[in-house]
This record gives sequence, C-alpha cells and structure tokens, in this order.
Amino acid sequence: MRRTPGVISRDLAALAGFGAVALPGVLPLPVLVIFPFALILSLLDIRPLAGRRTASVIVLLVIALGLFGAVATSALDLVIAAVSFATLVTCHRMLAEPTPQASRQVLLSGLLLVSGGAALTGEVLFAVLLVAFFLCASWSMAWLVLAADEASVDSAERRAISRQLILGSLATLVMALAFFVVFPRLSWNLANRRAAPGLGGQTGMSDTVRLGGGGDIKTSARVAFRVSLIPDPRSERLESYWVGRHFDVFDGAEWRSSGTPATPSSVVGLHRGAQRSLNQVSQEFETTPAYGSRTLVALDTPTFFARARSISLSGMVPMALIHVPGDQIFGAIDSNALSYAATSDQLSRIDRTPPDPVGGLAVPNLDPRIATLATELSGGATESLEIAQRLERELKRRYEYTLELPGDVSDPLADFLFTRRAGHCEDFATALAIMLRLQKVPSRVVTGFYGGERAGDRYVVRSGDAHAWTEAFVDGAWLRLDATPDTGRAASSNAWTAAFTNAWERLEAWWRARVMDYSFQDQVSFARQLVRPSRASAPEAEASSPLGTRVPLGPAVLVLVGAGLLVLAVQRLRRRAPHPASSFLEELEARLKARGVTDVATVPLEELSASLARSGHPLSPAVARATRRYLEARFTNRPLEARERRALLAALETSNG
Amino acid sequence: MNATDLLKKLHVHLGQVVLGKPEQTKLALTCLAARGHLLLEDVPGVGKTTLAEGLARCFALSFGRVQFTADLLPSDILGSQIFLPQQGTFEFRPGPIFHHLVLADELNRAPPRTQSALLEAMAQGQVSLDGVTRKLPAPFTVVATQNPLDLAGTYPLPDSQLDRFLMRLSLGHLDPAIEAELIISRRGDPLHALTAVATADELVSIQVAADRVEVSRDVADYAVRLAHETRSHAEIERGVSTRAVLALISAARAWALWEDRGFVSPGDVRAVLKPSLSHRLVLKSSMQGAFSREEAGHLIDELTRRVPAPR
Repeated sequence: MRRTPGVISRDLAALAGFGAVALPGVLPLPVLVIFPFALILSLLDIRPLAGRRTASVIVLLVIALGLFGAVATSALDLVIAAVSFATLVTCHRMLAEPTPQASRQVLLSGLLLVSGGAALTGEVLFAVLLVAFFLCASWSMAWLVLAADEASVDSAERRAISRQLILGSLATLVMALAFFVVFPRLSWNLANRRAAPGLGGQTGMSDTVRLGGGGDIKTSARVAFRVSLIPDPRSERLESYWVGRHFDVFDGAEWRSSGTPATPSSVVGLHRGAQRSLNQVSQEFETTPAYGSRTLVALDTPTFFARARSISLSGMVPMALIHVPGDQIFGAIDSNALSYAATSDQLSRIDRTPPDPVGGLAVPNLDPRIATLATELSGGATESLEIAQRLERELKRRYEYTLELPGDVSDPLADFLFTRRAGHCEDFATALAIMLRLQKVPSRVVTGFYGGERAGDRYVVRSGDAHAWTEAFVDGAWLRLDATPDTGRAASSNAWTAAFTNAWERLEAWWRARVMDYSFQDQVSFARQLVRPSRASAPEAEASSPLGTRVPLGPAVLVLVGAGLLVLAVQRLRRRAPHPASSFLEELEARLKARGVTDVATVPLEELSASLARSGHPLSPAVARATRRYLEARFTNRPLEARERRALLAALETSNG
Repeated sequence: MNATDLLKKLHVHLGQVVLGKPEQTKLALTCLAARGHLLLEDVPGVGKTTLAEGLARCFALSFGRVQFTADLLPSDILGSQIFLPQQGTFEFRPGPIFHHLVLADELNRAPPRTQSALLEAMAQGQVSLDGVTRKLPAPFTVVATQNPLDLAGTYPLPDSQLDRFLMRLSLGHLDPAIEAELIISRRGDPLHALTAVATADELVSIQVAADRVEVSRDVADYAVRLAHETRSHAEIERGVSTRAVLALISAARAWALWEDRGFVSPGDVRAVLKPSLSHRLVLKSSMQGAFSREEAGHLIDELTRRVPAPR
C-alpha cells in the first residue's frame, strides 16, 4: 500500500486536524512550517523516516522535553504545547512506512489535533475542518480495511462498498450538524484568552491613532458587532457614525488622549447637562471576537452606557465600565465578546464639553506648508463654521482615498498632503483637525465605525467599517466633520468577495446562534417547543427573521432527516437488495398460479417441482427446467439472460396442462 | 458414470430389497455419501438390518455386525491382544469394527462404556488400543439401530453421542399393498440375491463429489437461521449446536448430488433438515422415544414454515 486512496485520505484528515489547530494562530512557527513540509513529502510518497524509527523517536522525545520545559517555565501554554507535540507526532507517523498501523496512528493524532482545536477556537471554520476531518478519516479507515484484503475485492463489490460509504458519510454529516445544534458552547478558548482573531481582521480600533505603518484594515468583512436599535430605522443600510473615542493630543505622528480614568461603575452617563430629547436611540450591542477591543461604541452622540456583560465560558458575567478621557468607555473585563446597552442622541449637538483651552488648539512642530495650505483651503473665511465646512469640502475634493499605506515616513501628514496626495480616513481626519487648529478652531479626532447593514432585525457592522473623522468646536458644541471622500467610508470589496463573505456571514451567524451562543436555556426551550409547540408564538416566529429568533424547525428537521437516513442505512445493511433472479421466481410463481397450480402460495418452488414430477403433471418438465435454472441463477454465478428467461416462461405457457 | 447416475442406480438396486421405502433409502444413501453415520430408530422387524446390510452389499463393502447387549465389552467391538504361546508374543485380533460398514444393533442395550468405545471410533476414524493407534478402513460407516419403545434395561444415548450421527431415520411399517406384494414375492433371503453394483472406491468418489458441492452465502445463512430458530424456540429446551449445522450442510451437499447440481439449494437443506436435526433437539416436554421423535419432527416443520427461505 503506497499512495492508495486510504493513505491520501489519511493525509487529508491530518491536514484538517492541523488546520483546526493552526486556525487560532497560536502554534509556534517551526511547527507551522514543518507540517506542510511533511504533508507534501507524504503526498509525494517520500518517506524519509521509514526504517529510522529509533533515531526519530529520540528526536521526538527531546522535542517533548523541550516543550515540557517551556510549559514549566510558563513560556508556552499547556494546550499549545500539547497540540504542537501532537502535530509533530502526526508528521512523524506520516513520514514513516505507510503501514495500516501507522495510518491508524496518524488518524489518532489527527483526532488529538481536532480536540486541541476545539479547546483553542470556536470559529465556524473549525466546524468545517472538524467535519472534513471525520469524513476523510472514515474514508481512510474504510480504505484501510479494503486494502488489507484488496485481492479478494472485485470492482462491483468496491462500488457497493463505496455506495455504502457515501450513504454513511451523509448520515454522519447530518448527525454531526444535529450534534452541533443540540450541544451548546463548543469553544472554551482555553489558550486564547486574549482575543486573537487569527484569520479574522482587525477593527482599526486601537488605543492610539498612528499615521503611517501598514495594513489592510478596510477590506475585512468580518462582523465586528451586531446591534439592535429602538426605534428601528427600518432601512437596509445605515449612514451612521458609531463613536468609539476622541483624541485631542497630536505629536506629529500619533494621536493620544489626555487626562486620567474615572473609577469603574456599572452605568456611565455622558453629557449630563444635556436635556432629554426626542431624538434618542436605544441600542443593544453584541460584539464578536473579531471586534478585538474593549472600547464600547455607540451611535453618535452617545449619552449613556449600561448593562455591560462579558460573554465567556461560564455564561454572561456583569461587567463594570470604566470611563477614560476622550469619552472612551471600556469594559473592566478582558473577554472575547461583550454585550451592552447604550443610548444616543442622534440629531442635537449635545456634546458641549468645552475643549481644553490649550490642548484643543495645540499643534506640534509641523511642516510650514501645512499652515499655508490651511489658509488657502479655508479661502479667507472668518466664521468657525464656515472655515470648518470649507476645509472639509476642499480636502474631500482635492485628495484621493487609497488603502495603500505609506510605510514609515518622518512626517506622515506632510507626506499625505504634498507627496502622495492620497490617504485613508485617519490621514483625512488628522489633516482636517490640524488645519482647523491652525485656523484657530478647536478640534479633535474621533475613531469608531461608519455604516451598518441590516441582517434580520439587527444591524451588523464589520471590521472594515472602522473609520476616523474630525470634530470641531463650533458655536459652543462639537460639530462632526468628515473629510474622507465618500468612496472610502464603508467597507469596500468586489461583488464576488461580497457574495462569498455574505454566504460566510450567514453560516457564521447560524453557527453563533446555534452553537456558540446556544445555551442550556435555549436547549430547554427548544425541547419544550418540540414537546408542546406553542400556537401563540407561531405567527410571531413567522414575522421575525430566521437570524434573530431561535426557530427550532431547522434543528428538528435535521434531527429527523438524520434519524431517517440512519434507519435507512441500517435497513439497507440488514436486508440487502433482492437478487436479480428473485424477480424471475416471482414471475414464475405468478404464471404457475395462472395455470391453476394453486400450491404455489404455500409450497416452495423446489418441493412443488418435485411433487409435480411425482404426480406426472404435464407442466412438470417445464417447471423442472425453470426451477433448476432459477436455482443456478440465484445461488451460483450463472446469471439469467433476458432471452433465456423469456423462453423458460414461455415454455410454461405452451405446455398443455 | 458420475455420482448422480451411480446414486440413482444404487437407489433402484437397493429398492429391490428394501421395498416401499424410497425416501428412506435415498436418505440412507445420502448419509453414506456425506461420510455420515446413520441411526435407525424403529421397532424390530421393519427392515433395519436389511437396509444396513443392503447398503454394504451394493457397494461391496466389508460388513461387520455387533449385537449390543448389556454385557458387551469394548474389546468385543474393537478387538483384543491374544497371547500366542508358540511365539511367546501377543497378536492383535481385530474386532468387528474393522469393517467398512458396521451394524451396531440395538446400540442402547450396551453400557455407556461400550457405547462410548464405538462412538469414539466413529468420531476419529481410528481405534486406540494398548497405546497403539490403528486406522479403521475407509470408507467407514456405522449404522446403529435403536428400539424406541422397549426401553426397559437400556442406556439411552447421551445427547453428545447422538450428535455424532449425521442422520436419524425410522422406516416405519409398510404400506399394506406393498406388504402383501412382499409376502408373495419373498423366497429365501433376498440379500443373497443382491449383487454389488458399485465398489468402495466408487463410494469414496461419490463422497468426494459431495465435498465439491458449493454452498452460497444465502443458503449458509438460511441453515444458520434455521439452527438459530431452534435455539430460541419456546418448546425446545436446547437447540442444535454448530456441529449440527455443519452436519446439516454436509448432508445437504450430498442431497444436491441427486439433482446433479454443483451447489446446495434451500430445498436441499429442507430435504435433509428433519433427519439431520430432529435427534439433536432436547425438548421441554422431555419425552423419550417415538413420541419425542414425532414432536421434534413437527417442531422442525414449524421452523421451516416460519424461517423464510432466500428467494
């Protein structure tokens, strides 16, 4: 057994297992490199470790000792060390002589990898890899059994076995889906306590705004948070600004906030002096691990934050909020996901906090051309509002949006304004803020998100929607200004990737709703609904969309289909398909009955033929021939041809009886 | 001449001495073809001995007869060492078992020790005496008879020993018309008139032909399901063993020869089912003798109706 289907599907199963642990991005680099190398060698049937068992095992043991040492000195997480070692063992067995035993060992260590992956990640991609692993592994094992006895298996039998395998795989798939649905909370994120999104994108929300550097923030379509709004704006796309925090100190390359944090509390109110208005919007937020930040956002202008909870293994834990300068609110607990409620006042300019008399106008030592440009762009306006609006308009008109980042330059602002004449939102926001200050209008930079699209009865905001804009203190209140050209505000992606990411989002939403966030209570209510479907809630369930509510129909259908497939498979295994010759027997018996041989119903054909012969029945010779031929066709390898079959049956008709 | 023609010729030939019992003689020949031992259970005077001796004669087999009695010793069957004073040595004098076909008349009259000596020879095809193992002639067949009614002073065979017989047959009384014909035609011992139509080697060739008969998976399953049904039947204390299923299939193989078939059909299994299995069942009612035999026969009929044959 060299490159048999069994060995190849074994290697693919190992790849799926490796993918499950590589997904969270926590594996040490050498391990990440070794596995693809070993996989390629194995697929090319190059087995350098064949026959070098002792030496290679000693090397493995040394590596194990090293990993143990790293764990003991807490340089490495235990789970990561374990999966790293399992990966190396998998490689080792893959590169050894491909005996059935080695293959089974590969599959076993692959299983270890998959379980390690379950401890590390809850991504929907993990579920996909899990299913891939089990499919490949079961195929591999089936082929191992076949290959052990290959000579005795002919092609027809192999086809029959393949059919059974496909049926079994389908049943497994459906049952696996049902399993995911029924069991809650798959991921424990053991070694991944700090949100490290792995394949996920960054939100662009960070503690500082730094110009320059590199990245590809805007294209990430991963959901950063979901939010439900009251009142519901009922539009497909929101053109809203979600405020994260303000920055008021710029040092030429980086924005910071000044001041000291307040004590934690469970409720934070901003802008206390403002009156309650009719423009208030309540929001219920739920962030995803892709959000990657502890800062809470809310629609512009946020006034109130409460009911913050950290979502973790043990469920929802109430969490205190910390109010830091820059009106930044963040959760006291570092967790993968948050939920909280916020209230915003959307239309009125209620933020009347006066800017710091010095800081609000402070400008670092900058290229003198910027001041000239600011005067030029403001076009001689004297009113603060007019200056602000002109600068915003001119920047938007004269500069282009680009996602290409300049890399590290000494003066990123001058680079943007005079060299590249193109930049991203942070460049525009900074340029506008600095020019406003140079024109003696107090200003600050705000980071957060822009946009939001409807998904069910909620809105989702993606990582790529991260944005930065400017606020100017005009007429005693902060005015929002956005100098970024319209093309660069929301996430940009082409139609194909949008279609793919949409499908992926839907799968992920399903995954989150059914698996990750599926709690014990959900299970109980699901079971209750199965037992006693409530009539009153049916129209409601129809009215609302499938994403937001837990309609148990899907899982119920899955479970039923799975059970049905299983029963079918078992039945098929138990009772094989009727033999081709059996139909001949049935036809023969029907003809005999038609000819008046009534014993056919009770006496088996062989005995009937013998008794006809004894009694000298005229049909006897024809029946004897047909019986003998039937027995041959049924119990030996002499199939009955259609013509012979017709001739034998015709003989019954022509005999005089 | 192939095995089928030979068997049919023997069947006709044997029918000249065992009148009116075509089914039983056919089964007896099948039993021989399957290398099996035969147990004839019937009242005296219905032709058990005639059948056994007839079988021996038409194959030209050497024939030994042992009348089992309460004082019969193992050495009476197996043979013994005789001291020869002239040479001053012992010489082995073989017993009646050293024949191709041995008739063990009224087997249940001998004590268990003697019975077991015979039964061991049946199982092994050899005899061990005083540390020397002597091969029995091949082919070797034992035809034993039992009287099922006159049970006084008998030692019923234990189940394990009954298991060694491939088939149990009973001849039963003759049809009156045939009985009358027999009385008219009978002059002297008809066995003397019976000439050999085959040789011991031809019997061996028939046995080899039976071995070559194929058994398909479906038929094997059918036999196993039948056997399994005896094990779970409410009125059966103990069902049949795996050895019994093996015996059933080897009998069915031999039966397939009658139809000149190279494979076993479900009908073959049914044909030999009652003679091959009925004596191996231990019934809950634990009736001995004729009644037990009929009861077992009925149960097996019921099983064949209940267990669906492969179609």
